[in-house]
Order: sequence, then C-alpha cells, then structure tokens
Amino acid sequence: MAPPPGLRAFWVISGICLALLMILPLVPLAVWSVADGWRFPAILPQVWSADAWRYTLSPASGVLASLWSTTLIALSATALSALIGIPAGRALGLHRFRGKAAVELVILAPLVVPAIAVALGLHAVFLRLGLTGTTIGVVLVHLIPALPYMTLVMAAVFANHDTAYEDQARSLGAGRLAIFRLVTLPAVLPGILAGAAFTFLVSWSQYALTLLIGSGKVVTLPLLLFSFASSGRNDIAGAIGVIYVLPGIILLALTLGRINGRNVALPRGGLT
Amino acid sequence: MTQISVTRLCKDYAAGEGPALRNLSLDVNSGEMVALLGPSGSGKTTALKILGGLIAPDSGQVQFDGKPVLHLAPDRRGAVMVFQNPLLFPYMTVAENIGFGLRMRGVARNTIRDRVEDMLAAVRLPGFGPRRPSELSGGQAQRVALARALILHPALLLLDEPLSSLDTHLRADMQDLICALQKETRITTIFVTHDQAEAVAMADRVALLLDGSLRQFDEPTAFFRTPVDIDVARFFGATTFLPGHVRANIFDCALGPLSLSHVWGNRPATATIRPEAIRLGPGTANTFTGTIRTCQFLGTQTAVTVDVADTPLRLSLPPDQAAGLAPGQPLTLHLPPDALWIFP
Repeated sequence: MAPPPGLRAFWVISGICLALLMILPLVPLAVWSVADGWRFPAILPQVWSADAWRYTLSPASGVLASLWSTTLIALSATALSALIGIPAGRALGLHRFRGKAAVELVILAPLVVPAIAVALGLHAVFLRLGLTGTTIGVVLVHLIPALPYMTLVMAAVFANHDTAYEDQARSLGAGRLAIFRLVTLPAVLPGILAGAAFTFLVSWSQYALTLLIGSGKVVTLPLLLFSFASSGRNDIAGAIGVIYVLPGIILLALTLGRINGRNVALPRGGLT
Repeated sequence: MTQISVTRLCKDYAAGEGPALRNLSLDVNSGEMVALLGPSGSGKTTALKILGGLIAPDSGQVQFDGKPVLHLAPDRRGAVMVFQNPLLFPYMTVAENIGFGLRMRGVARNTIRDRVEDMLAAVRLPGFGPRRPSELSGGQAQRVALARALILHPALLLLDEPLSSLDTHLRADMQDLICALQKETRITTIFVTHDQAEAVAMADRVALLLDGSLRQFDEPTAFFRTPVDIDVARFFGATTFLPGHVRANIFDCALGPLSLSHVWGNRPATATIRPEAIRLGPGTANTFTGTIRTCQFLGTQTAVTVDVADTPLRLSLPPDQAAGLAPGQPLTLHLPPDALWIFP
C-alpha cells in the first residue's frame, strides 16, 4: 500500500534531516585534519596542509599504537561478551525461572546506573588485584557497559528460537558441540553479529572507564583524541577523529544490509 | 528388530498441570508398529520423548531387548524420533539433512552419499539431494524427515504425529509409505496420533492413553468390539450407553429386556452398541419402534437419532438407507444381540 503523498514527503524530509544530523558534525573533523589555518569568518581553511596526517600516522604521535590497542581491547571485550552473553541470553530468552526478573534487572543495571559509579568501586578491587593500568583490566571494565547489549540482543533472538531443531539433532546422534556448531549457531549468527557490532562500538567509545582503570597507561583512541583536542591541536584531533569514526561507519555499512529482522533464529513451526 | 518393554513409567510436569504419565506399562513386539493414541494432553508425546531419550521419567524402566536404556543417550540406545514438523535443518541441503545422522557417527563421505541416494529413492524423491528444505512441499519435507531417521536403521523408530501437518490427500500417501517402509525394514515403530482412524489404519496394535494412563492396549478391532470402559468406547465413537442390570444373557434397561449373545453373570452394568451396528427393520430379537428426532447428513454417512421409550439411540446409516428419513417419522429398528457389548 503506497503512503499518501504528504506522508511520503514527510518521510523524505525527515530522512534528509536525520542524515544531515549524523553526517554534518563529521565534516569539520575531516576539514580540520587538512587545515593549517582556519579562522572565523572563513568558510574553508585559508591554508591547506597534510602535516597533521603526516604527524598522526608517524610513530611519534602514538596514534597507530593506540589504534592497535583500542582494536585489541574492543575485540577482546566483544569476544568475552559473546562468551557470556550468548548462554545468558539463551537462558533469558528460552526459559522461565525463579528470579528471572531480578536477573534481568542486574543485567540491565549498567545501562541505568552510571558505569563510572560502578567503576569507582571496581577501581579499588582492581588495584588490589593488580589489574589497574593493564589492558586486561580495561577489557574487563568495558564489559560493564558492553555485556548488556550482547545479552539483550541474544535474549531477543532466543525468545524466537525453536529448540525442537536441537532435539531433532540430538535424536539423530549429535553431541552438544555438534548441535551448537551445526544447528544453533547458523540460526543465531545474525543476532550474534548484531550484538558483536554493538559491543565492539560500546567498547570502542569508552573514555572515562578506560581513563580510570587504565590509569593513563592504557591509551586508547578517545583518550588520545581528547588530549589533542583539549590542547588546541584541532588539526591532529581532526585526523584522529576521522580514524576514530571509521569502524562505526564500516560496521554500519556491513550490518545494515544483513540485519533486517528476517533470517534471525529458527522460527517456531519451521521454515518449510 | 527390537523388542521394547516399558514398565511403570511415571512423569510429572510442573505442579498444577497434573501428572503427564501414570504408571505406563507397554510391551512392544519386535518389528511391530504400535500407535500411541490419545487426545492432546494425554501424555502420549511425553511417553515418546522418554523412549527417545529426550526427557527422563521420574520413575519406571524402559528396556530394549531386555537391556535397560534410560541411562543411554538417544543414539546409544538407537531410538530416533521424527517430529510433527519436518524440522529439516534449513542451512543444509536435502542430502546433508538425510546424511546428518551418519555424519554424526563418523561414516565416510562416500558411503554417506551412496546411502543417501538409496534413501531418496526409497522415499520416492530421487534427485532431490541438492535442493534446499525451503524448496520442498510439506509432504516432501516430511518424507525427507522420515528418510533422515530411517537411514540410521534405528532399533526403535518414534514418530510424533508425523502426518498431522499434512493435507488430507497427502496424508493417505504418507500413511502408505510409512507402512510400506516399516513392513520392508521391520523396524520396531511407535507413533503418536490423536486421530483414531489413523491409528487403526496403520498400527498392528493401538495403545489408548487417556489422562496419562493406559486404558487399553489391543488390536484395532478390539476398540470397536470389546472396549474396556465407557471412555474408551466414547473415544472410538460410541454414543449409546444404556444403564441397567444384566442377568445371564438378558439385559434389563429403559428399553425393556434385551437379548444378548453371551452370558454375562448377574450384576448392574452398562451396555453399548455402536451407531453403525444398529439395523433398520424388525430383527429376530430386540426390535423397537421409535420416533426420529434428528437426521444429519455427514457425507459418507447419515447420523440419525431415534427416541425409543424416551431413550435416544444414535444410528449411523449409509446414505442410501437414510434417504427419505425425516424428523418426526416413526422408525423400526433392531439391536443385533451379538453387537451389544456389556462393559466388564
């Protein structure tokens, strides 16, 4: 059914506004990164330069090393989230059990309670365990905001998952591992990818938690970005900023086409 | 070719739902096809899943050829289940689906390929191997599901309402196919159904479960001729139940004294006669004249209710005999003595 013309125009206009809202703030970043002098009221920089990029990509700036450690931390946090979030989401999505509401509340808590409040308490514990200032410590603290996303996405996926397929595989002689690999995993993979994209980006964008637990020794991109931005080096901050937004754009482009609500889980009643 | 022995199986689900199975005992002969018949909620699928190793009973024992199997995983005991939905793995081809069980057993790839081809031919789907499950019709998918189980030559084949997801015209074909393959392979088979016609048509023996208890385990004809109680008779379509008193071969009831073909002792009892056993016209005994209350055309049969001495009798007549009958008319009928059954 075609929408009425007025509604269609509204959709188009709001779509354009939304796109502008998300893209426009990124434009100055890109311009700054190639500007040497850019003062009011000029619309474009008076002097163009590639110096900022040259410095950013040189070992001296530490940006590439930081890019590597940010990626490693985000990937580790995502992997750990999957390891915990997939079974947890399965339990929440499939089963009704005593105290389920309480468990859901605890899992959701990091999204409600400021993570920094939790992290302040954790800092004392991590100090004693010698985890402050380590990459492992930072990965662990990133789980606080990242894990709820994976768990909730997987709970939604498993809520629509038909375990009869797993019973059938078991009846045909498949063990637990084979059932997961051949029957469950292909069904929930789109959900896992969506959850992984969320957790990766959540970890990628952590600032306060990294600063607190990393004690300044674990320098991720947002920390570096903030220090250049606050010291007035808009050109270098712009270059780092461009690098910093890339994973989000890449992940969005990769997942947008795949996550469309269909093809998630084995629906009850079968596909045929 | 496995003899199955089920002894005093009990299973309770969550409180409030009542026990799913109460003391189920059943002996299935080697190579036999048995139907577990019952309405939904009668515990028949629970029994099947216990046999298949998918759920554990609270108490009781299951033996295959005399060996206890309850502690064994499904494949260790050799029981394979086919569900109501075909449940074909959507990410695999038809051939990969059928070969799944053999692959789990670590059978060589070439062997699997050959045996899958044989199986596809057996279920009359040659050349369907490379297809995707989403490309199959419901009947084809169910045949693939059957092939996927049969390829393992299970000691016990368990079918959970395998025909209920199919259209009526496909159901008869599938019944024939299942029966033919079962006769050919002699695999001991237990299937669950709520459809008494299906149970009677396919099974060597039928086990009727009502409310989690086994009421009667017998050959199909017994449920029509010698049902053990009113519930069993009612499940198989009997509608006339006459309370009264039996004295030797005479049954006293609201209709008057009825002649019986057997001697039944002397006690209060209930008699029944199947709607299709009541004959029109006068007979040698038990002849009555009543008034037709209702006539209902049911396609292959016409259901007629006749009031005889304020007692409604239900008849099921072939349409040609029912032609011209109308409510309000008088009708003479008789109850053949050998069709009257007194509940023990």
